[in-house]
Amino acid sequence: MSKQYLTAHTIDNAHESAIYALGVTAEYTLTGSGSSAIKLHSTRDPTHPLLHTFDDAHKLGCHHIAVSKTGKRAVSAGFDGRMKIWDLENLEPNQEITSASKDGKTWPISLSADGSRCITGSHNGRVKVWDLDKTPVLQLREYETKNVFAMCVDLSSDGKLAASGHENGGVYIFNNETGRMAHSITGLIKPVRAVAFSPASKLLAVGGDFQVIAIYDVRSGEQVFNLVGHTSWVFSISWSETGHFLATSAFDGKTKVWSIESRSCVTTLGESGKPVFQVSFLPKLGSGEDLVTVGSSITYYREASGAQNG
Amino acid sequence: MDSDSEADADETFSVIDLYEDTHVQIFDEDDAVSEYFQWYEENIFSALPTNAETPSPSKLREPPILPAVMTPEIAYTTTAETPRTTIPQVPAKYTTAYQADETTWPAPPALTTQDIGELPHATISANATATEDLVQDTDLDLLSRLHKLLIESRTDEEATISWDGADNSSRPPAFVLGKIEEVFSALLDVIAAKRRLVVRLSVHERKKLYSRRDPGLSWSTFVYPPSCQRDIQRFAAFIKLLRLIAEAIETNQIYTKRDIYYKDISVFRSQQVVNSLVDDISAALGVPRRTLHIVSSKTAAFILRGDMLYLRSCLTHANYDACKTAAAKGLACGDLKLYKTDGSIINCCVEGEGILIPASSDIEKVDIADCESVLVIEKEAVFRTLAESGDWKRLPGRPILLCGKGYPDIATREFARILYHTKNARGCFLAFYSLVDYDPHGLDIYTMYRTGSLLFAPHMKLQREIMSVPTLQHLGVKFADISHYCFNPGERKEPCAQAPVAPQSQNINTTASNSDEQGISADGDHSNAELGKQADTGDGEIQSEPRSKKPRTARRQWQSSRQAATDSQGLLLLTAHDRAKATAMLQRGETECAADLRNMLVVGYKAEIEILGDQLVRYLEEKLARQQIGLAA
Repeated sequence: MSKQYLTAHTIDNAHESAIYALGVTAEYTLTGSGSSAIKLHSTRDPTHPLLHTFDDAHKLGCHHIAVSKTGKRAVSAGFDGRMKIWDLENLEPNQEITSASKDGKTWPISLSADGSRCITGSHNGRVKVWDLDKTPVLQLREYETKNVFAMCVDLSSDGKLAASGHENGGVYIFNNETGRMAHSITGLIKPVRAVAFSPASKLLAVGGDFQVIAIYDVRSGEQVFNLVGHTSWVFSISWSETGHFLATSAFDGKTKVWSIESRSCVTTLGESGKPVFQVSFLPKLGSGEDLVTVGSSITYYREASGAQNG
Repeated sequence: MDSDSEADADETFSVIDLYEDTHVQIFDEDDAVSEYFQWYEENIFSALPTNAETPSPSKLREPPILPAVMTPEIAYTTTAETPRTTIPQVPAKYTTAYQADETTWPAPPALTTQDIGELPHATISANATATEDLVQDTDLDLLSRLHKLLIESRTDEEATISWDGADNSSRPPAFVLGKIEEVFSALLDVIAAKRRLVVRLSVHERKKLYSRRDPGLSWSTFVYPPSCQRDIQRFAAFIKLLRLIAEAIETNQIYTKRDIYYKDISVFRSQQVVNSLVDDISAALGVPRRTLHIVSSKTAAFILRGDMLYLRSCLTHANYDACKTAAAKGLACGDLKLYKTDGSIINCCVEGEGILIPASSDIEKVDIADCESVLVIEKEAVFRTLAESGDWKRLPGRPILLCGKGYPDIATREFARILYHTKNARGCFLAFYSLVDYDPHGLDIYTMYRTGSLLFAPHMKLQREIMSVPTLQHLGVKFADISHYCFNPGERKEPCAQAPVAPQSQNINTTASNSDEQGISADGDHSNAELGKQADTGDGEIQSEPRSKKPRTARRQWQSSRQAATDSQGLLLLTAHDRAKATAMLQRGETECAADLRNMLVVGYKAEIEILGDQLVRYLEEKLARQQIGLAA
């Protein structure tokens, strides 16, 4: 059983340089790159026109964007170590998380589904959870890891669980309610570039330079199964809304979609050979599980109609 | 000589000692500093409290009116607070500080000249406790002294000396000497008149770029009398360095930065202080560093190792040009001849190793044979590999190899510039390529060759230009090469096979291993394509753990059958230092390699030239051949 995807739309010159950051809401596709602006293309419109630009968002460029599922809030992190919160309803900057980079520059960020909680990871391995509803933002939790660069973080959709992946292959799951580390996953030796909780927060997908996608049970911390097939560093992981599918992108330009039920790769996309830094499923509109990837360009993929969903 | 420098050290120290030491040493009568010192002896108590953690009494006498010019300078002083910023609060602050003093220092013993005379000079400036003791000693009638200080006020005037960084690069060292004299005599006057002396240096561009503050504020200031411990240290180091420069110029010696540091460790405290002061002074006076008779430590060390006699001649020679010659650590190798001003000819086409690049002032003419390009190499090891094997002769375009051993020195860059201006035997200008590590420092070195040092301000464009090669191209190692060589090893062959130059180069380089590789590569491509197909259809790839074993081992086999360069193990993770360096480079507005830097930060890996391993020659063949085609088209 496999899925058929068509390249629905490609925006080649969205940014002047490589695109590192992606955030998708029902309205907008936010992208951040080496240039200072964050661009908002339409997610719904099949021609995906540019709707808005946050000019001079990050002077040195932006490497991470996180959006809430509700589509109300976005957070972006720049190469200068600054983090900005954006109001997507009024399309205006909200406030900055100024103290985030106080000890150790912030690198990865992620938001909970309602956008009230934000998680950040830093160069020196500190993982912090913030309450963005407060002004100024309130730091709720701070977890110390082994002082190793946190390359990726994620919050469960309810914001109760946090996960971080580190340069030395360490993966940690934290319980934000108790403020304790729930599980420490070791054995992945190589840099972990993506951690992602499933929509129901039962599974955690972990990808990185070991080229395998490892799926863990969040409650027990046990490894459930592996998805093997990438031949390059895995850069990002995205769960479909239902949690039935997983999309992963890799440095060699390949994007793969996996079925969790059959534990197999259902399609491989991308021929350019240029790194795909981020991948995300689009909020479901029709029957298909559509995708968007960013790297050298923004590419929308549509699941071919008539294909059977696995 | 030795005793000279010793006395010298003491002299400078006496400047610092003003605030803490009542002991008088015997100095030459005509020496500015010692004269000051004598003055100081008479006014022994007026300056004493400066030693304590309290603000300078001079602040009290400070007029509230500031010259308008002064305000912006505060920007880049390394001290946290400049006296001017604190002026409004001084009286209150001073009182509280003084009260604190009183409570913490009960009934100190009377001060004797003997006691203080025994205090080692070094500890006075550097050691807080020593100075504290000293003040404790003098605490007896501190109140009355302070009172005296308060009524005895300096005149409102201040003498300002500004070095604005105007281009004086062609001026002789005597010019520097004059400037230094100016400062010393002003210092004397100021001391005699009990005024303030402000020396302003225009901050050179590198500092401006790194500074996050307003770029308009670009003066580094040294104020006498200094107001706090840090300022004392700064001012002392500044004066000491000027003294050493003057000494070097007068006696026609060359000092290395390291020498200078060791002349007075307690004043300079760290090598960085010396380095940045030397840079500041050289930039503010608008003269190259060698005019100050200072060379970098590395350079001298190399010369020491390389040619002892030569060094000695440099050191003793009364010729200014000899100083210039001291700056040489770069290596060159290629089909060219150097005609030196002294009539000798250096043939750079020697097997084995390259030649030391002489200073540009010693080069009369360069005669380039049949070369089309220059390959600027960061690493000496790589340079030696290519030079010793003679591989460079077989590379497309027969490039001239140039190596600056890390960050290039002035002579190397000037030599590159000479080559940039010189036509080869066929009457064409040379193409310039750089082979540097794929890490922030490698990219910084590339930028340095290309745009010149950031040391010199924009209006000293000439100075920068004579050391830059604007046509320099970043050949590698590049971001794309990593993905290429680590994940798509098969594709690597294609451009070479298509290149018309390639057959030629392969003819020369036909070895068993080479043809072997081709065979394997072709196989690999095949299997790669097959695997790709399988992946596309979603068959075979797949897989939960047990099933996956077979395809994975198979893949590992074809991977391992490839060259070492295809192994991603040669990649190194960026360190915190690398990240900071990359961010700093982005922040200073680097446009040349900003994309590379960002990619590096996002991907998190760096690579050294050595990642290519024994593929180096082939890599260069392909790359240079591709460049040639690019140029032809």
